[in-house]
Amino acid sequence: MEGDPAILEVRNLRVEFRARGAAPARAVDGVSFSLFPGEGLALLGESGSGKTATALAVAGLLPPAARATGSVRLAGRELLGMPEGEMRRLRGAKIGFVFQEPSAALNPVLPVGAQVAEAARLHGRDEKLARHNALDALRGSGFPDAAARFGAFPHELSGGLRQRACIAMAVVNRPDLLIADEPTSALDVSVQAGILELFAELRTGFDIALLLITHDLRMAARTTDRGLVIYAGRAAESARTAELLERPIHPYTQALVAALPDLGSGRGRLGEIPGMVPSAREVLPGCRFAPRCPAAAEVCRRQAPEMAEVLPGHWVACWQIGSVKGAEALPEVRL
Amino acid sequence: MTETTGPLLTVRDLVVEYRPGGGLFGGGASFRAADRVTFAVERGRTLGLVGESGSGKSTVGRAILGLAPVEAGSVLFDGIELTGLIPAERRRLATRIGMLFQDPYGSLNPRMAVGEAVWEAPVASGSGEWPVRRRELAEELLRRVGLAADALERHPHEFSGGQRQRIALARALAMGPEFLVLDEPTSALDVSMAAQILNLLGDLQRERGLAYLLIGHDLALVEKAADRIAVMYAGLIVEEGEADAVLGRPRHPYTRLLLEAARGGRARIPPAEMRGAQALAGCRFAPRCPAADGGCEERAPELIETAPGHAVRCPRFG
Repeated sequence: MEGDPAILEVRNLRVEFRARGAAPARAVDGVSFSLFPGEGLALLGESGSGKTATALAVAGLLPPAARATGSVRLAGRELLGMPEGEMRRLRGAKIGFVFQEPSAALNPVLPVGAQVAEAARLHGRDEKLARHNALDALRGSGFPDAAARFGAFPHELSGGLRQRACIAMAVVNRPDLLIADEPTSALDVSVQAGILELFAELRTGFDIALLLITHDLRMAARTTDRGLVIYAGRAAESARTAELLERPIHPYTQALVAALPDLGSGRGRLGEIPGMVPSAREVLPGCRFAPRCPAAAEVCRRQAPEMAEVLPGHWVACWQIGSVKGAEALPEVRL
Repeated sequence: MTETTGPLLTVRDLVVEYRPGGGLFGGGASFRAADRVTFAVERGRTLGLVGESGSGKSTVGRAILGLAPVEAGSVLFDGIELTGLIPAERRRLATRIGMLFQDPYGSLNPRMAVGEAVWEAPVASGSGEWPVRRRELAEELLRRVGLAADALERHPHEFSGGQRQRIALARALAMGPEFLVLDEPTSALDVSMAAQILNLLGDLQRERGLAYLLIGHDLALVEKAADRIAVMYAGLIVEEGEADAVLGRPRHPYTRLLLEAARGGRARIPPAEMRGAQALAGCRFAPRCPAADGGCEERAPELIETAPGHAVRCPRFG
């Protein structure tokens, strides 16, 4: 779209899964966000929050049983409803995807260099250029001795190096958007720092926008600028990630922060959110967090709250923010 | 024989070696996954065993459970030597030692209803009142770990990851153990589910006087539950002591690096080469160590007590 600087614009996205003989499950229910070139945005939430379904919808990777409605625009082009062939060309060229488990994303019987080169070849590079780009991408992804290890098989590499190879594969065509779904959850803490740093380099060095899917708010704050907390398919809170971590306002975000173990605080209990995320088949007329919320009142169970800007750039969907700890000083949100 | 004083579990100079099997690909060098590992777990307490992938921490847990080839050393449980037990003797001890792994799906039979999974072992071994009151006892146990009574008839795939870990925990508790090996019990879970499981483990420990060996790579999580902490690197314990001392006043450069990484510091630990490290004559961590000098590569350091109850394996403390 002319004059629109956002690289990715998601508006009112809904994702429904249909199963024979069961009510459709609405995994994502009206989520909106935008992402600018080189920016990092975290989609935050627990399993079942809809964060992965959102990412898959953006990448056009939803399974056939799922239906996405609303709008997903990449550099102004509508992706929802795009024919699969066109979408496939776009994915890989303009959108890179990094999964949680690098071993599952790599072909075990092909050398990693060949796999990265294949990703470049699929998008029009000739054999020689593909190889050259692959080596560049591996080097750029912090793969040590890339030339010497070009022919290494996945099983010969550590988990951290396998994930770097996957990232090289995702960025070999210099995409505009990199989607990473829990990219460090399967890795040692000591290896995670290097991977997160790599994402920062890719953003500043190549202007690649990063959409990070994670349940770890602390990791999000280290890696991204803004965060969108999703609960049961709906947006709960959106702000700079550092602000979400330091000054969470939605009771759900507050609980997520309290559940994080804080190194140096010694032995003891962690903050707990009782219960679990409701099933996407459950129909709740009000706020979907209300059944688990310590601050829930009658209105919460009756009507779903909308997102409202309670501080500059800080949006919250909660009826109770006047009475929630940490939000006392905030202007009252009109009910 | 039952001792009532002293640690519940004493591991001494434990060596676990994996030998490449015979056949087409056999004949390679053996790999020492755990090397002269020594520690003790007190009754009702938790020892956290931490380290990166390949450090040998899970191998130690498996050796205690009789699931890894012990080459040398001793594992003494309440005065009973566990190494070299014949299977029948090992089974008798299964009532006292339980386990909880990272992936509860792997340890639950998908075709078996949850109730049966819980009562299967205690009923088969005629433990307590289980043979006559299995439904009530299983229901009670499932409720205690936070599941509704109707869980009894349902199957594992109907539950979320956190709930499956609760089922696996109920199954582990059914035999009335005194000691549990917990191998990355929350690593596959979201932060909020991890917090629920860790808090539950703490409550059960207080209620039942359970002792835990908590194996994990996340120092911040292990800190929440551990009384003592042992840090492993390339098969060796490199530091061990009270949790607040090891985390608050770490002596080993490796422990310090792990702590910095866990705090989100920018310190990069050079990639681990755990296997290659085994062949080194000197300190196995020296190639990655920011504090190493020439002397570190010459002499293999021993575990030295630098303060009462706090031991470090570093050439600079010897």
